[in-house]
Amino acid sequence: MKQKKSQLIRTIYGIWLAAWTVVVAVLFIVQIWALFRATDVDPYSVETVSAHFAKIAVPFWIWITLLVGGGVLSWVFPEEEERPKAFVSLEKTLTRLKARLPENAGGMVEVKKENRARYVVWGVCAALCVAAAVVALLYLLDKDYVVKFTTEFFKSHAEAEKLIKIFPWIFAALCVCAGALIYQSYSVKKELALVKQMLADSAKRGEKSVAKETKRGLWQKALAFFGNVWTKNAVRLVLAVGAVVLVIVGINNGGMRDVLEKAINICTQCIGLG
Amino acid sequence: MKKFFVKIKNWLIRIKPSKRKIIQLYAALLTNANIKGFFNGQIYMGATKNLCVPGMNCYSCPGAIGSCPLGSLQNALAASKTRTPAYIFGILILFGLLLGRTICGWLCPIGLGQELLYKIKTPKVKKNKVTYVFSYLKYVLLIVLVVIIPLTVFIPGFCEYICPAGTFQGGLGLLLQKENYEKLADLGPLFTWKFTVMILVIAGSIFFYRFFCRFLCPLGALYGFFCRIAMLGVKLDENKCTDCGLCITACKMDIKKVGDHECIHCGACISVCPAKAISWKGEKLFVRGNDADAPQTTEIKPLTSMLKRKENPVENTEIPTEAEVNNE
Amino acid sequence: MNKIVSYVCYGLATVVMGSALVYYNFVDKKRPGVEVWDNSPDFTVATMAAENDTFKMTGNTYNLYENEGKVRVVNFWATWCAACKHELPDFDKFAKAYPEVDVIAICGQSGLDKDVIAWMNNPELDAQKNAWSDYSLTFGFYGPDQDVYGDMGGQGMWPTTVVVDEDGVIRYTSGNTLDMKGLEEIVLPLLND
Repeated sequence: MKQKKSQLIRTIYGIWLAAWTVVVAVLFIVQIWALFRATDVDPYSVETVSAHFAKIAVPFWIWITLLVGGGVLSWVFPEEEERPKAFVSLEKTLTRLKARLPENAGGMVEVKKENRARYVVWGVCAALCVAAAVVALLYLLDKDYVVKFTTEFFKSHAEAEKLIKIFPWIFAALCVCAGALIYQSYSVKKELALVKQMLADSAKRGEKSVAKETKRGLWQKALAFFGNVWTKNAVRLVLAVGAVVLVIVGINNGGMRDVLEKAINICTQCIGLG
Repeated sequence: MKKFFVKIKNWLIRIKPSKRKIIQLYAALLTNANIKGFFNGQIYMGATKNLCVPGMNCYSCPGAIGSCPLGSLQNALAASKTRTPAYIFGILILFGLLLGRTICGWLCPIGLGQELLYKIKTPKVKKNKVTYVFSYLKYVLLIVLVVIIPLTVFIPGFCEYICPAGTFQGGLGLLLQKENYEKLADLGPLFTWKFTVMILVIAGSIFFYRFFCRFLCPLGALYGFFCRIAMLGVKLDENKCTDCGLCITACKMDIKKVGDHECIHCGACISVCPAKAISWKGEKLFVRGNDADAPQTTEIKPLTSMLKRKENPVENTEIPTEAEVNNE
Repeated sequence: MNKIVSYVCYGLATVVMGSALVYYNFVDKKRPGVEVWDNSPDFTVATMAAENDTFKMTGNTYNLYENEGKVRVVNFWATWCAACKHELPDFDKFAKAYPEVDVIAICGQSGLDKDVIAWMNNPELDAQKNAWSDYSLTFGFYGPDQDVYGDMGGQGMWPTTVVVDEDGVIRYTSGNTLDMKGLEEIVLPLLND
């Protein structure tokens, strides 16, 4: 009973804190953009910055109080550790069970259709990703872009405008990949159900199911070669020697001095203060 | 009264930082040992900035004593027409080879910052398929902002447009000091955008575990390439692994397998593996396996050992004896 | 055995941290800056100019003290600093509008003279595509063997501009970027003094 009560309190507190965090974050973002809008009149200075952020001081301190309260809460009502649940990869189960299917089991047609549907979805996804990459590269590698753009605001930051144009495409490509992955798990579940049904049917008919021995494909052989300790150590040795040589070359040709120069002479715009 | 002290003692034991947290704090302090910079508004300008620190730490931080490897890489690529960037490549390969993403989990101050933010007790967003896909965004940022933009426009793209460490340490750490107040007049749209990114990353780190590391950090992406050959880190003994997947659920990063390119080698999976198949590389040499010496929490049941065959899926119909199980 | 190794490691870690904290906070000194109303330090830099649309080292030098009697605007810029390059056109506009003021834009921390000359003559490298040959201000340069920026009190932020009046007294020093309006606000009162 006490456990339930403490869990309820913790949940309510958690939701309250999450809401305040979002509110405070939004307020900070709104205030910095308001500050930017106000720079038509006044540049950034200690006075303008403090004036703008003093307005959101109250919600901010409430948030801090909630945080501290959370620390106290976790002391009074300690949380118990969650035990991780086992996670069985559906794809691996599917591969294992499919290997045990007899050669000409009924229902194979649907299984193959499901498999093909997955290939099609991933193919489309890959094509869209390649298209997004091509569009992005076309913008990025366009040397004459500076001549072509029109906005005055980005005149000195043409690459910023390029980035704003290409990131929606990249974001869209990632969303398509996420969609394809979600479809994959749904499709694998369906296929798994079919295969289990087929195995059950063949068991009912009294057929003995023996898993076929799978030959090690080229991929497995390559992985075994590269996973071999001796290959790994050889690669490590080559890389280590190469890295030391590169460092020595770099010290000689002035690369190390360059690192020092850039670290002590801060181009403030280069770190975003501009 | 006594109960109160017992409660305090239990609380202190519960919040005692783990070894990894202590090492993270140590690394963060050593990376920013120039504490006087926070009081006199000037960055450190001496000789140790010839070296790069392994994790991310902007060189504009008043406390920084070394260079940021990512910033140095971008600047070297921007200047690559006049000077081959051999030094920074050598340094990054050395870090990747020796430590790999162990740097992310043990030495990076920004990683530490995110983990501390994650401790704030809000409901959390668990990892899922969408976060797995978006963990590849950092590779896109690596290619676009760290490689293409410096090579074509000669500016450090990631530092200039995204890096929240630069905004926090340089923008807030450096500019909010009396000596540097006048520099505030130079701020404009770029800083406003970066400040927004910084607030989003901070808020994201409260709800997602290591939001920046998983989705945005190109340095983590770079070190991830060395995951198979790094000399320190967690390793999986394939022969003992029973594919139960407890390690994957216990891990808060978007891994598909222990020790892959997303793994930050924090060691959280070591204690949950029932087959004790996960251990530290180089265990015999310098790292004491923390829970590898602990008594086994689950016995290996006969059925589980039957599932062990991964290379040869021929079903073994004989049930192995207890002796055979215990020998393995 | 394990215990000894771990004690050695802890000991080493403490020593490293302790010596780092002591060194950086007590032994290493803050770089001295210059304040407004100080006497300006002297410097000599090589000059570069365009000849028939090609930039080259002129072989002459510019010395600060030798040009006493004029208001001198000393700007420090570098080939890798985008903000520095952005403000140079405004400095040139100012130099053209007020020829009685010495405006010198010193390129520092940018490598050897041949590197900078090659950079200025190669339009591919300059993303802003400035027309250097049309500039009226004096271009200065110093190589890796000098640190004029540090001598003139630079605090690490680029660009930096130092304004020295006719008597050699520093009247303005800042790590801010300046535009035409800012320059006029700072320099014109000194001319009318």
